[in-house]
Amino acid sequence: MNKKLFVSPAPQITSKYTTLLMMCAATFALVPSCVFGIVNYGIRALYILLIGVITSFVCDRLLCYFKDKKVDWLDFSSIVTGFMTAALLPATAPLWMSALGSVIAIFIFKFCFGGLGKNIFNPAAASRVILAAIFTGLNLSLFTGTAIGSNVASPLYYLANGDYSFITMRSLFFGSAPGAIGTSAIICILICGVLLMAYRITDFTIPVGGVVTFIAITWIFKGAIAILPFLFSGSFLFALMFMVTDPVTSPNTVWGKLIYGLLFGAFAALFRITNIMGETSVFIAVLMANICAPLLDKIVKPRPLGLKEVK
Amino acid sequence: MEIRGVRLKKYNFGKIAKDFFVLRDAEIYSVPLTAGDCEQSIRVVNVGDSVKEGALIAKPNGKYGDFVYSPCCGKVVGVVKKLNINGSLCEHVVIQKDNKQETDYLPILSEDELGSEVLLKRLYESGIMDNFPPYESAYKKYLLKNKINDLVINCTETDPYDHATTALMVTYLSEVFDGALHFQKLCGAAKLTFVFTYKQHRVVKMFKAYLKKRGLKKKVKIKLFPNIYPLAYSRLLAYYLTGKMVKELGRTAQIGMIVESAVNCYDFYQAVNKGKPSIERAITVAGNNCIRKANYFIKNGTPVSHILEVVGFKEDGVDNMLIYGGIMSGVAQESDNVSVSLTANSLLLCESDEFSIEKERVCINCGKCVEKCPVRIHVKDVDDAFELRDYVKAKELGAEACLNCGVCSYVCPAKRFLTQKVQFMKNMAQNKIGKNPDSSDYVLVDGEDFGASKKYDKILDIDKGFKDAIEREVSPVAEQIIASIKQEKLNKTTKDGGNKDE
Repeated sequence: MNKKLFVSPAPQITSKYTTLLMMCAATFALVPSCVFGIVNYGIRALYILLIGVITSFVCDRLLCYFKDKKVDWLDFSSIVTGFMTAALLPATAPLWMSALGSVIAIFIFKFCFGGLGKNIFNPAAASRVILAAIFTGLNLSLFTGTAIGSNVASPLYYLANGDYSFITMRSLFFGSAPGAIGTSAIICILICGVLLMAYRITDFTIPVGGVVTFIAITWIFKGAIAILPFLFSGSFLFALMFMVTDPVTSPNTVWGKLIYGLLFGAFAALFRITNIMGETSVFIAVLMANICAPLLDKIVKPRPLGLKEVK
Repeated sequence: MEIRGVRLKKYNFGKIAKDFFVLRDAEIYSVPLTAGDCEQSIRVVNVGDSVKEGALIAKPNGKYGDFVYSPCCGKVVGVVKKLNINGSLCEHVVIQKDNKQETDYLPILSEDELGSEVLLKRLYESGIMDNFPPYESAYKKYLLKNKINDLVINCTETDPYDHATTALMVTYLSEVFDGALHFQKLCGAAKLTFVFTYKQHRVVKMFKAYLKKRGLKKKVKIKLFPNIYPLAYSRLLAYYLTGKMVKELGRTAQIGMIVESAVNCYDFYQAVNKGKPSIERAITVAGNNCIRKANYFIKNGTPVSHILEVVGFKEDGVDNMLIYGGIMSGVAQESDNVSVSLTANSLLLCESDEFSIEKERVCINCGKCVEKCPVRIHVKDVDDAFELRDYVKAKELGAEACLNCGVCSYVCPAKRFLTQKVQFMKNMAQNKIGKNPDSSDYVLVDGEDFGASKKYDKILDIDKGFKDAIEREVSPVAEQIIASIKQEKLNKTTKDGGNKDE
């Protein structure tokens, strides 16, 4: 053999899971519920989504260019962030708000923390909370949990008052009830979330932990009848399936992930029951859980085998 | 017991027959005097000596090294100092084969004289090596004073290209089993366990039928494991069986268990019943660029270029990769100017396109490496410590427990070179703040140098004849001879090159 031989470091095969694939999968998992959102809320929802995605992609590329970071140009991480940020807005929101949300998510909550993999908070959830805090004066229906288009009330409005009869499971499942663009169609969220878990893109321990405490706390405070309406409304499942399972902001170890999920479920249930911030309460719960993640990484550590003498 | 690791069943380059072919003899063998990265043995032959097959060409240097035997009948034409296949510099004895078929094996042991001492002596003499890091001699396991209760024969194959063990179990079952019985007699273990994976269910069925025929079904246990890589590391296997993990530089004998591979059982049978020392090994030659994928018995010191010539490779436009060892922890060779040593079970010839060398990307903190690490190292934190060269932190995180199995690099979605980084931190932690990790230092167990122990002294009686010091010489002439022979071969251009001799 006269040719040159190729040399590479030790495991000469690698798994098919790459960062690109994981981000792509997360992006496409959002598509079905957003399609439902466009069908339910009109073509305006599509413009909001497109503006969010394009703004975040351009912003990310610009910042990468100036930071001179060797990141792939088609890194789906910025697209998934922009997509998610826009999907959390109601269809009645002004178009510039989508762009602003993406800029906040990418610039403040991603690049100010050091770029991909270094951010503490989920950029989409954080930018949603910031937007809700800034624009309380705009009286956007979903930010306060009252009516959308002044006629129909959001499910959270009824839930706060204890009227469970006004909400039909059908409207929650197919997203015809008022809500944010991407978070209303529960059926799509459930299917896509379970598929992500089945293909090992996201970890199943976090959603399991979250659902357990959410159901338990709702049951204790509101009774068994409130469990399903609470579970299926107010973006809880969206946050559970796509936001807390974000690999960057969740803990590393399995036990850490389980505790993290349990904490998120508890925070979400408590904030929802008190209903101070309406739809935003779930995203505040996401941020609260994110804060706990580095701490959980410190506390829950794997114990390496074979460091002590055995007899 | 939770078994961590990865399933690698989807990587397979087609079917490989579960039997053996004998590789056509090479004209030149260059036998390395050390197989692993230990100190090399002392050469006892000089340039110009003629040796028979199985004749001694090197003896241990005190407690280090091994007996090395000539793989063929021929003449020593030179001694070269070059890199061996595992990447360490050592002397190679170059032997030119002649047409004689004379053998000079060890005396055959009869059934009556098979005692523990005799068998240990034979194991020492035969030069059998373990085929897992740190590539030490097989006899060293039996020198500990602990009482041995369990003997575990490891027949698992979790590496996707490794078929040599299954092929051995299918083709030479009785030999392997007799070898295992010899090992049991040697260590005096009450229990004998054979370990398989669920993937090898056909072999297990065959093995059970064989046990029934011999009437030993109650005395031999069979344990099955899921097909998860890595399983074959002896310390890890002992952990899965007993729940106790031996410290890195320790032996499984400390917890009363000895793990022996099926390949070693076959070699030991040959050494005891046929008197044949360890001069050849069952090796799978495979890969998607390899034409005649099969299991071969390959002799020690066979040039890799000769193997490639016999098995054939596809000459496409792409670059080739030559990997010695498994696909997960094997060493990619820079050239084919190396010769085989008896430490691994497979030689792979692959297209480099198949194994894309990915660029290292930013860590996204997903925790897959932490989740899958078989020894539960927090790989992500060690990676962070690597960036800062924080050796103290790496030691605290337990980087010293690393097995070098490659699972973390395999699962990483950002394709970071985690295995290399953890290994680096491990070595640096041991160098800077721990004790010196001299690779031959691991023989020190129980605070006592077993080189001075009584058992060892008994064994050393064997080399009374080799007391005379032998001058070492390194001749560059051998390289010239090899080159000239290659040239002759090219001139001949034989057409039949590559037929399997059965």
